[in-house]
Amino acid sequence: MATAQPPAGSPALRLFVLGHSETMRRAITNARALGRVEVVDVRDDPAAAEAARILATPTLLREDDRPARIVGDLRDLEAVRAHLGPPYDNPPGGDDPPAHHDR
Amino acid sequence: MGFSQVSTGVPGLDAILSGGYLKASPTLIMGQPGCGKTLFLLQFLADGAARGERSVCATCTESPERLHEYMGALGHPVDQWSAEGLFSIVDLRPVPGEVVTGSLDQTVVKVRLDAALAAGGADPSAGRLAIDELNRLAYAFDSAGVAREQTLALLRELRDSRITTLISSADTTAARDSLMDYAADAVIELRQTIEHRLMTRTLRVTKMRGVPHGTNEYPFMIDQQGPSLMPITNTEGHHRSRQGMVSTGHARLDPLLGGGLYRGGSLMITGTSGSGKTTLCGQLANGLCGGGLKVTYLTFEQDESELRHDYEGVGINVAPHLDAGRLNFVRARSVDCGLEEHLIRLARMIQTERPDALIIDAVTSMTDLGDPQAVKSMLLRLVDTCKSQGVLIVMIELLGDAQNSVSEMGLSSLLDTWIRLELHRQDGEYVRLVRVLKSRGANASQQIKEFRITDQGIVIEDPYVGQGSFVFGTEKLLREQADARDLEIKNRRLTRLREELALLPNTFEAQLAQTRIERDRALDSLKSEIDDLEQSIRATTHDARALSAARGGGA
Repeated sequence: MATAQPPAGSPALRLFVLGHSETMRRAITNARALGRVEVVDVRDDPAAAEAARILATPTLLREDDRPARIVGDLRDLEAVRAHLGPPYDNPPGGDDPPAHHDR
Repeated sequence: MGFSQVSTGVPGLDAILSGGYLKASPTLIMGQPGCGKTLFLLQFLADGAARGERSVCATCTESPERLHEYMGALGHPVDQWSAEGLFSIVDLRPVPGEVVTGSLDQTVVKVRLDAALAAGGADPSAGRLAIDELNRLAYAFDSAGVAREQTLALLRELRDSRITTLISSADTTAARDSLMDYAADAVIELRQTIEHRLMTRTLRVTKMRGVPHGTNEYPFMIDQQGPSLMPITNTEGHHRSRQGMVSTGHARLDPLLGGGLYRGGSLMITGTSGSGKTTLCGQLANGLCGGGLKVTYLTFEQDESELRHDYEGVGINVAPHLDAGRLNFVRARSVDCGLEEHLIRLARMIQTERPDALIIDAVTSMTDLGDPQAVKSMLLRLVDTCKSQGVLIVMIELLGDAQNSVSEMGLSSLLDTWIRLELHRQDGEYVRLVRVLKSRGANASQQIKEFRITDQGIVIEDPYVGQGSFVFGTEKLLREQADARDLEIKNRRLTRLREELALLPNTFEAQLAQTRIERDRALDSLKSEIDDLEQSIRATTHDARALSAARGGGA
């Protein structure tokens, strides 16, 4: 299951996009930098967008016991990491200390 | 112009919009919180669902559960519609804690709406869509309240997809400007004001492309059945005819009114406190019901049990009519709502209950709810409504003691018949008088009558009209007794003179006969004296000649 950089058992991320615009592509690239992510195109699965109450794309969802929602193309990856919290706030390189982004 | 329209589901609104909301277009409803925008949306959707059209409600603030409940509270079979897929809710509320970083796109909203409208393979443009409080849709407006390009794009796409959409939005200047100008083909503004401490809600159509529409501020009300406007009735003129006349059921009242009252006519009963207005109305209600009519008695002053008690005390037994459902007392309080809402309530009541006559005791109860002009206008429209529905309206007007029996409502032109009750003070008593001031199209009595409230109902009597003045009550009785004595004396004298007349010629005849006898006697006497004298003269002459001859002839 665990494939990329995040630690084993790390929570799954879902990224809702719409189509293949520049914004969507950028979001997908940024999201994948965080770890394993499921990309959902709302045109293909409107029911999933409905269930998740998506109001804008792209929207990144963390859906475990530490849920978070981030709307936008995730261009400020550091802020995204900080908002998602552990384990995403500890970048894969391991260069940065975990407490780097506390607010 | 060929725009087709869809019904609004709000009684009275279709008529103002010449048919309904624009089909295949967005219509915007703007207004302050609490003025009923959501109810307009729900009624629009319910109207669609009831016609078997797929109806989708998108909510930006209210929870879907709450909207579902509202729908049920309005009396709609919302559970059934949901099960059949005719009604669904798209939850456009933001999830708390969302953060934004970088650019975004809101086309997903349209995708979700389309999906809901197209569920089961339906054609989205065949359904109905409502978006409640679009101004609360996350990311849709900037901090100043101006609709973002995203929002305008959404509305543009809805129009391009030819989806019949009703959108509600709070009335902020910025939202108004950005939405009204670009996004909506039709704009309806709702307003609520407090007048005389009572809530008045009005609706105005500020924009409607290609469709003629009413431009006034139309009052509307909200009750358990949702919002409704004053029904616009087809005014297919009411024709007066003898056939259209109904009896009051009172043998003296009918002739007083020139035969009765007209169906669809208007009667005002004006009088000061205690002049017998309510009793007269009870008599009328009873009489009209007795003639088989259905009467609704709207009372602002007493409740049903009080009225029944009072009527029974004067021999007006309304119980059989109440039991038979012909008579219906409706208790209202003037302060329940504003003038316009009273009007809408009454108009709706007329349309649902379909009475033959409506009695309002008293219209003066509503004069505190607005300025005289507003009250007059309201009553004018009420009379019009009754007329168009063929309902006889009977209004009571209570005159203040200081009004000197003069009506201040200025309603004369509205009325077909106007009865005035007066308390006439003379010596130590008050006498009740009734007078028909006006009666269009009927040969009503010109006379002031006295009326009394007895334990057998109302009794109407002719007044004393001798001696060039009207007299009523006890004084009338005294005058009548004096007159009777007077008459007897005159009659006796007349008899005597008649006797004299009969005797007088005989008296003169007798005298005449006597005179004739005396004349004859006098004549006879003269004639016999003349005869005697002539004989005597002849005898004397003969004697002288004989003597001369004896002496020997003449010397």
